[in-house]
Amino acid sequence: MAGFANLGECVDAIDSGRSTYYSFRKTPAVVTTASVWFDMSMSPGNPAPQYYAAAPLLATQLTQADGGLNHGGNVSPLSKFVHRFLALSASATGLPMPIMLCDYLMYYPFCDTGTNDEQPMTNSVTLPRYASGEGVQIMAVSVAPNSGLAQPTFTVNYTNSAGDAGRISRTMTMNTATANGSILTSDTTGVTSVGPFVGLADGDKGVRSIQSVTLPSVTEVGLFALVLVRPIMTFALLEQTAPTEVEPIRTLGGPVRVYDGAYLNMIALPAGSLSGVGIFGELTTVWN
Amino acid sequence: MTAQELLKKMKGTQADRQALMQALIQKTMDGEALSETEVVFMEALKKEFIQVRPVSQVVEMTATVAGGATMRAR
Repeated sequence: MAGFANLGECVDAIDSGRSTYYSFRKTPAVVTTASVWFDMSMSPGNPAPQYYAAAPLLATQLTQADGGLNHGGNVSPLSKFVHRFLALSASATGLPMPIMLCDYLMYYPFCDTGTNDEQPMTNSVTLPRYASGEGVQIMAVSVAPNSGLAQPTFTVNYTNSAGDAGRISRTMTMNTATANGSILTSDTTGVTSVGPFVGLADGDKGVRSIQSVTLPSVTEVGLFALVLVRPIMTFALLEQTAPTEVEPIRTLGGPVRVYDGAYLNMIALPAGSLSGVGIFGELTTVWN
Repeated sequence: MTAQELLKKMKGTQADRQALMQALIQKTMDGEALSETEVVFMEALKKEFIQVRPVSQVVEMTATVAGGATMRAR
C-alpha cells in the first residue's frame, strides 16, 4: 500500500533512496509592504521566477515543468510527502514572517483593473491536481501595479468544488500597496481585507474553475492574475538567528502530500520590505 | 506604455503582438531596462513567438534592424 504505516517505513524509504533533497533561495526584487501577503513565485532566485504570462484571461495550468521547488520526479503508484522543510532569512528585515507553502494549480492572467465590464475567462483546461477543487483557493496577484490612489472592489464568478456554477465570491477590496507580486486582497491593516485568498460564498469548500471577474465601480491602472492554489503547509520565520524547520510527520502530527507534477512555491506575509533579502531553505521529500 | 495599453496590444491581432514584442526588444537594444510589467508581457509573448527547436531544425536568418545594422539569428 502506498504511504507509510509507521515512522520506520519512512526511515526505510529514505535509506532505500526514495527521497530527494533540494535547496532554494528567493530574493524579492521589489519593495514589499508590511502586512501585505507577497507571492514569492515571481521573485528572482532558485527556482527561477514565473510571471503568470499567457494569453489574457486564458486558464493556464502550472506544473512541475514550469519550475517551482523541486520535489523529485513522478512516483505514482507510490505517494510522495514532505519529509522536512527548512527556511531562514539573511536579514532581520521583514521578520517575523508567516510563510505558506502552496501547490500552484492554474491561473487566469491579465485581469484588468481599468474596466467595469465583466471579464469572462476561457477554460480550455481543468485543474491538473486536486481535480474536484476541494481546498483550492483563489489568489489575486498584482502583475502590473495599481496607482494605490483608489481601492477598487471586485467579485469572482466561479464553480465550486461540488460542481455548482455561478457562485459569487464576497466583494473584495484591493490594497493600496502597489508592488508586483503583492496579493491584492491582503492588506492586514485594512478593515476590508480578508487575507491572501478571495472569500468564497458561504458553504463552499473550494474552487474548480473561474468563469469571470468584475470590478463593479471604481477602476485603477493595474493588472492582476487570478491564481488557483492549494495551501499545503504553513509556518513562520521568527528571527534571523534561528532557521525554522518543519517535519510534518513529527511536528504537524501528519504527513503533507505532494502530488506528481506539483508546482510548489510560497507566499509570505512580511513585516517590512523584502527587497534584496535572501530567503534560503531546504525541501526534502520522501515517497513510498 | 501603460499596463492598459500593453494589454490592449496583447488582446489584439497576432500582428499587434508581434509589433509589441519588436518594440520591447528594440527597447532593450536601445539600452533601456524593461519595467516589471513589460517583463511579464515579454514572457507571455515569448511563449507565443519563440520556440526552442532541436539543433537539427535550426535555421539561420538575418534581419535588418533600425539604423541599418544586420542582425543574424539562429
